[in-house]
Amino acid sequence: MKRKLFALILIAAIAAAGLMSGCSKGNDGPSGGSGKDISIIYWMSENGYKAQVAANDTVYDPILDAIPVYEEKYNVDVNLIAVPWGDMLSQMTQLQNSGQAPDLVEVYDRTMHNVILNNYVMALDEYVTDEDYSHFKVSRDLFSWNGKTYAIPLKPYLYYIMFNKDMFDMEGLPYPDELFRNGEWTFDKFEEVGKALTKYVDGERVQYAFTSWTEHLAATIVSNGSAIVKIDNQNGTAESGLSDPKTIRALEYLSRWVNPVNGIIEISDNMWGDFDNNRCAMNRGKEYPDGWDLPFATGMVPLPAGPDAPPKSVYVYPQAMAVPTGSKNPEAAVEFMRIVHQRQKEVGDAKEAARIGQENYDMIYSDDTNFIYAYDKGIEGYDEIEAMIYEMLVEGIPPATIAETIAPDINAAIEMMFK
Amino acid sequence: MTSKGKGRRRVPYEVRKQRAGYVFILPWILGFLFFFAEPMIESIIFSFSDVTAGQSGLVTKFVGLANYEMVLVKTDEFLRYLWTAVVNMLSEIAIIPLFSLFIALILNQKFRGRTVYRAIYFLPVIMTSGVVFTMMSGVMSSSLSGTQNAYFQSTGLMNILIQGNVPMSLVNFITSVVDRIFSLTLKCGVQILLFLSGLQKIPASSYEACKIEGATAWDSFWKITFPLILPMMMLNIVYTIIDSFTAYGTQEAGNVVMAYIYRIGFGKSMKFGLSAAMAWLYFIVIILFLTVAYLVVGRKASRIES
Amino acid sequence: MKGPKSLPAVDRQAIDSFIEKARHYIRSKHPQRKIWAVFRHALLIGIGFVIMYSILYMISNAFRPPSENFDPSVIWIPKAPTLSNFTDALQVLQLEKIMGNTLAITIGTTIMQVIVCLFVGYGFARFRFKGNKVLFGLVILTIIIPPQTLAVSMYSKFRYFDLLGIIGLLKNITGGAIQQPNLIGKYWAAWLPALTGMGLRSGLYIFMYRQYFMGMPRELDEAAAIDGCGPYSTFLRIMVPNTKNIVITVFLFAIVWNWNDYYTPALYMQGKPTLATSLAEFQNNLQMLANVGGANVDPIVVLTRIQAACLIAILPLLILYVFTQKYFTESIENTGITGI
Repeated sequence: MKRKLFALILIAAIAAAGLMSGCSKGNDGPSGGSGKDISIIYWMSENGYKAQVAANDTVYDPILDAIPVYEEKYNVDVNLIAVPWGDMLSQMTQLQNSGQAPDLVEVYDRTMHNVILNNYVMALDEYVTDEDYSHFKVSRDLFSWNGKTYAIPLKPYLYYIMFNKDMFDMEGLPYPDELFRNGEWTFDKFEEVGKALTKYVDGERVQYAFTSWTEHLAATIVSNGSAIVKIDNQNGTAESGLSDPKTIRALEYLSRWVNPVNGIIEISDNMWGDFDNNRCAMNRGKEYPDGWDLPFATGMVPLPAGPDAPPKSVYVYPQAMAVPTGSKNPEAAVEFMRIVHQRQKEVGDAKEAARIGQENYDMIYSDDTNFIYAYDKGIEGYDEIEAMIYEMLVEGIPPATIAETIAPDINAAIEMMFK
Repeated sequence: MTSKGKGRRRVPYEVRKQRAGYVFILPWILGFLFFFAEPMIESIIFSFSDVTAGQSGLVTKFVGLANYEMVLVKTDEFLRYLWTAVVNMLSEIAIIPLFSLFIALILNQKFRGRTVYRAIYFLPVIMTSGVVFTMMSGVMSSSLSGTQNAYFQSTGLMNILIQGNVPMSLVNFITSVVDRIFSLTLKCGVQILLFLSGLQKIPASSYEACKIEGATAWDSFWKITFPLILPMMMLNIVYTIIDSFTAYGTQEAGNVVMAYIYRIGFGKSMKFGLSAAMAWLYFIVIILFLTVAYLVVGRKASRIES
Repeated sequence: MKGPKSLPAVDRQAIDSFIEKARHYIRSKHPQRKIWAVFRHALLIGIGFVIMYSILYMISNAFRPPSENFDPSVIWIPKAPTLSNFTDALQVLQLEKIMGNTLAITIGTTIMQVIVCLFVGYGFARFRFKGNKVLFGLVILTIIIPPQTLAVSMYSKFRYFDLLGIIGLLKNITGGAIQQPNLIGKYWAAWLPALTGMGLRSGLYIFMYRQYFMGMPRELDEAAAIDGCGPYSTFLRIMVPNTKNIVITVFLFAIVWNWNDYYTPALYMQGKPTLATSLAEFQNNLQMLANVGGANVDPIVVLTRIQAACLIAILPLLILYVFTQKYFTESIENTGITGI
């Protein structure tokens, strides 16, 4: 009897503590937001940026460059919260959940839809105009969902191929960037050039055409105009893109390329080693190409375009900044982004041209190139699915079968995320 | 303060003792209510809700068993990770307590250099906590067997087997077993200590008595050591279960379930409701194993103690 | 010059006893025992090597210049040992920034845990109050449930720290003059739970203390009672002085686990990086140093520096271990823990 009483008292105490603590939650916190001062979550700190610029003056970061400009214009202090790249999201959710939401946070292919669906970022339609989306060749649709816009773009991150000019010379092949300028840099041409560059000796491959990480699979599928997860931003739906004929075609090319017996590309973690040692002719370029001391001449070119995409397609990773739901100064945040765009035009473009070479810059950003991209990496387990596709391709399983086998996993992940 | 006379003093003292007991544990009660009970209840509520962000806090919408359904029925990732963790734990329970007992028996004998060996065997406890271990574990154990191809090209068991034309699947199996054994030796530190302390409690006189009656070492182990060490065995098993299930982990190394739960909640998915549901399912599994352990070993142990 | 005579009786006894001793000596060096001793050493050394392998590997890699990392001809000793990994690692870890935080959090929480759990463990062990078993079961519960499940609500709890809504009431009364304090990013976020027995693995320490105190004889209690001590003075004057061993044990365990703890500082202590969090972000921060910008860092460059950083991270613990190793290894024996 007494034991029961004690248990009851214990439960009551817990409940009471819970209720009382709950009552004092949900506060708005200190009433910040006196107009223009904003806080930004970003992955680089001011000191880090200074150090990088000191080492290499073509380094340019749009956010960190714009901060002093904004601060001076409005005479306020911008609070930059620097956390590692992978922690930006959790930092934002934590601050948001305790009432101290920042005003800007970077979103990218893996986080865009997650923050929208879980209501962590606000719709920006009343603050932005179409002009804010005209600076880069990325459509406003990418940053929308269900008819509303949720993020403002930064200049897209370039995914390019760096090639070894000497190896191309030895085979008498035209350079890929010439091919690109002529609109001939397609999957078929890539395969042709790749076969010429691949050499087997006694069944062992001593030289091959291209190397990159597993994410090159997704990049190739997107380069053919499709994606592993097809997302319809206007209507707010998502479905598996594996059975789409464009995806199947891309996978067919890939299965020839990664074939262990006579394939021309290698997917590995140690990709730069082989390039440095002249074992492969092309690889996924590093972010700052001029910081790379190589004994041979190199050139740069975008990824080849698939048969279902325009021939001068450039695969990019768009990045954007979104405004958390709890932000007190969304207008100031948008204002800041306008300054970012302005500085990008004034200063950033020139630095990028200096970094990658004016010719390459003109080639990539000329008017007749077409940017191609997808934001499909939000589902949980995306990397595992990519790895599965790769393994099955290496084993020689036909793409249609791959699509069927993986469909349940993708659909489950899509359902978990998009409900 | 205390009145003279035994009779009058005893009753108030008992009551005072009871109250004093409460006073001693008072800080813990406060801490439990505030830092544990309430977050726990909130977590249970989350597991039955769809949790999204509000203006300055979280918004929960009751959805009944939808989260549990999603985790158990509609997706199989959690179950796969759970299975990995359970298999891991079972292999640890099978190997670690017996191995630690073996080592403890050896280290209990008197020989030169004993303290040096003890120092070495306890070293992993310092190194196997948290970040350092996870960063190191992938490289360490697999480099011994050579599975980390990128880093150790020409050494290692794996290469020897491959060059001996052993089929690849068998090579993989052997190297993963070897990896596991090696990494388990690093997790034994605390258990060896526990057994050592238990062994020290057994009085040497009982061994001598046995020897006089003509028993061999094997006999004396089974008749004296084993029964008396059973309570410590129970403690070791419990400790191993808990340690295995709650260790720090990332997606590739360490405890994958914990990493998955953390990832679903604090990673890009941000599904706190799902994360909470998984955490509670995991917890039920842990309790299940502890109960089984108690029923199998613990009852015998407490019978022997009394 | 004396010829062979029969030996005197005394000498015969001496010879007999000598022969006895020799026989005993030979018997004790029975071949079986010798073989076992050799086998034992071989086994212990073999397994000991596996354990030491990781440290040796760490040391070897940390002193290796990055270019030799994949060099298959270098097994243990680098051809050109260098300290550059360490200087780079120290710079990236930002030692000056993190040391203060790490020491404050680690030593602070350890001392608090050691003391508070002592009180609580004693309370559970020596007092028969209602709900003793139930509450102790809850203590065990706190060990089993991992911190991440509770992290979200703990964060907002620290952000608006309030006891039973009192400060919230005061805030309403005073019209906002008194605010709930923000404990995020302050050491109190780690100290408060430790002070109330809810620190990292505190439940385990409470368990250890309880077992220890349960092993103390009841006669001490009764003797103290007869001498007129109340429960508190019994505790202070009789029990505490006997706790040296268990306190040292708990202290050593706590300091190791707190030093390596990643989750508590990462979740609640933004702005105050510690060694563990800095180490976890090491790979990301390394790119700030290396000329290769962006998120694509060459793994070769990073590996040796990671090893150096890991070595730095556990070095204080290793040093502590070298000096207090005796306490570690003999600690649990002396605490009287006999099992469940």
